[in-house]
Amino acid sequence: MGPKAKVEIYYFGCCPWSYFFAYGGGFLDKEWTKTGGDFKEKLEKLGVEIVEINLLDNSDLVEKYAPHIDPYNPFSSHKRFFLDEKEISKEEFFAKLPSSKEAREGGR
Amino acid sequence: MEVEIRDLNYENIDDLVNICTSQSGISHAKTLKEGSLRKKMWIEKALKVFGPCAKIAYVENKPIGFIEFYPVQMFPILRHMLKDKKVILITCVFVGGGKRTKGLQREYQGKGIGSKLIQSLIKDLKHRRIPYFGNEKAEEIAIGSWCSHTGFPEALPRFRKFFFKNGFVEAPDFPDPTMKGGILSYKLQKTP
Repeated sequence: MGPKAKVEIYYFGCCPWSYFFAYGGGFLDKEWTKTGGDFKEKLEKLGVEIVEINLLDNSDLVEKYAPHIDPYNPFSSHKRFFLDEKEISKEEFFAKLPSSKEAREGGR
Repeated sequence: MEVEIRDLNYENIDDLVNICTSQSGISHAKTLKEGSLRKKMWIEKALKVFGPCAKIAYVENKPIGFIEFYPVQMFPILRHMLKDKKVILITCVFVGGGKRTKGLQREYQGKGIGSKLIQSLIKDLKHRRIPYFGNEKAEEIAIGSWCSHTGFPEALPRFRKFFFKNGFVEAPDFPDPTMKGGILSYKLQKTP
């Protein structure tokens, strides 16, 4: 069995774009929001646990884990990546994720 | 062109949610649609704890713009910086329309509808008693988004001009954890 993978997504509940950007969406890309921001589906397919946190409902968590959030910018968002409950960088997370998928599939 | 401004209520939540994501007339990414659902959930909750938190502009019964606002204590970090200040923070003002007239300009922009939304908010807050503020009135309205903290850089001067035209002034001492500055404010209760 591979490592347990989890992503925490912090978004402004008052702004659909904040949620979209949190999942990697691009605002004025060539496809104008048709295709961006769908890495949520990718995470789900890989069996990653996703925890979504509306930062308007969870001020304590935001202040603890995302104090750099710009409260005047409702487009703001934040992500935290975990493998086996250890927080790691996004880069490290995605570098290790394919192997965890293989491990998971191999265990079936 | 007759413009009607209505308060947000449980019946017109979808109008508000759809305005900012549906006007380009194309299908959006799945996550943007999900973001709209999250917004709807949040608005239902905000209506219960704060009351009307947006005003919607209608032309011929069609929703074409909105202004959205909340007590500043609803925002992380700011709740500590502003503590018991009775400030309403505008999170978004948008006027759209399906057709583009020039560049990014949409058909209902530049027709004074945004000003009508802001003036309606100012008029409302001068009299509205807010349970969130211990049933007292708001003292000030502030805005950071769309005039300094977010928005298209080339459009920021236009947005700032829009708020100045509606009575807002620079608030250099307004608490800002990002140190980015550029917050504008409108004093509702004038001090003698």
